[in-house]
Amino acid sequence: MGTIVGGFMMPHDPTVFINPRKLDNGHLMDAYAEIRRRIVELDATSAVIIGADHYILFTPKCLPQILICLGELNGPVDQLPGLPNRPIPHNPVLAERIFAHAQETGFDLAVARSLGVDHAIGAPAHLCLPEDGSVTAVAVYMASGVAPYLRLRRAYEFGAMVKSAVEAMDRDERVVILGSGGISHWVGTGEMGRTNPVFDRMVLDAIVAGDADALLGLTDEEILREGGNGAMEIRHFLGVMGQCPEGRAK
Amino acid sequence: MSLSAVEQCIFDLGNSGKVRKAYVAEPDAFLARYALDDEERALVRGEDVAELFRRGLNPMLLMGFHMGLHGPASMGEYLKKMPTLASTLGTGE
Repeated sequence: MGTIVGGFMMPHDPTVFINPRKLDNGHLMDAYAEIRRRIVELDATSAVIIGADHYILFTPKCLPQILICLGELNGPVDQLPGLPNRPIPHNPVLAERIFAHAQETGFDLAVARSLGVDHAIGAPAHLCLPEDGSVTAVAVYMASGVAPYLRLRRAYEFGAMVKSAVEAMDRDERVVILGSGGISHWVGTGEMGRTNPVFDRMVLDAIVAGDADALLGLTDEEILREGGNGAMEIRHFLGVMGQCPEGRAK
Repeated sequence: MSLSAVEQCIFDLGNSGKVRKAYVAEPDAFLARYALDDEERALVRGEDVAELFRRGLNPMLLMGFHMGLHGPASMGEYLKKMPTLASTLGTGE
């Protein structure tokens, strides 16, 4: 039987890596390293990584609500300093299992046979998973960057579905779920560079308390107004919370 | 107008150097590939990212379009043109 052994949330802001003002970003890099250390400590065998397309991968011709990649991964395709585009060890058995379970339980997922991921998944794959490839990845994209946006509750339910899929596996798999995204940030709009600490604190408090309802009660307009278009990525955090409904965070 | 064809055009220009080359070489011929009306063509030719944003185009797409044409150093110039997201939500600048 498979087991969900942990969930983690982390940012993937490109400016952390480009660092145009040459600020000390050591504390951020240390945080990625701490997640990696804890994933190793948990003896995880695989990681489901949830990210958002930034209108790089999917075109106006096809914009999936939730997409899972069943095959090979590489990336990030939008290379950033310290994050070269390279193959990412993947777990096709777990991906197929999640997809099959999704079909059996009323989730219709879009599928990629192989995928060049962007920094949303490339950053955590490079920085949070062991470099020896001992923890293999499954990539999931949610519609958090491009409208029409995935419903918040569906993101939460997706996490719960992954949990039941993992627990239905007939092989010993120890899975962590990584929600890759930011809290308040504005991308490409006149507010770019701004953050809203009040919104951020509310989201973090909800996560720490395991209070998904506090986030599920938000409307998209409230998120856009208080947290910016980048904050739509709290869907990925809800995906993590959905797989550990009784969970509390640190 | 639906802006769907504009969205595809801006996506293509923002994500492919080869496409940008074709556009820069012969903008009118390039834009003729898309089902754009005169107003839409003018918005793209004029790189009117502010108006395109007000009409509903994704700001990440517009940022990629502008940076693709003018390089990463043009970020400041791009942001000066851009309205706030709040202004599009009806809460004022």
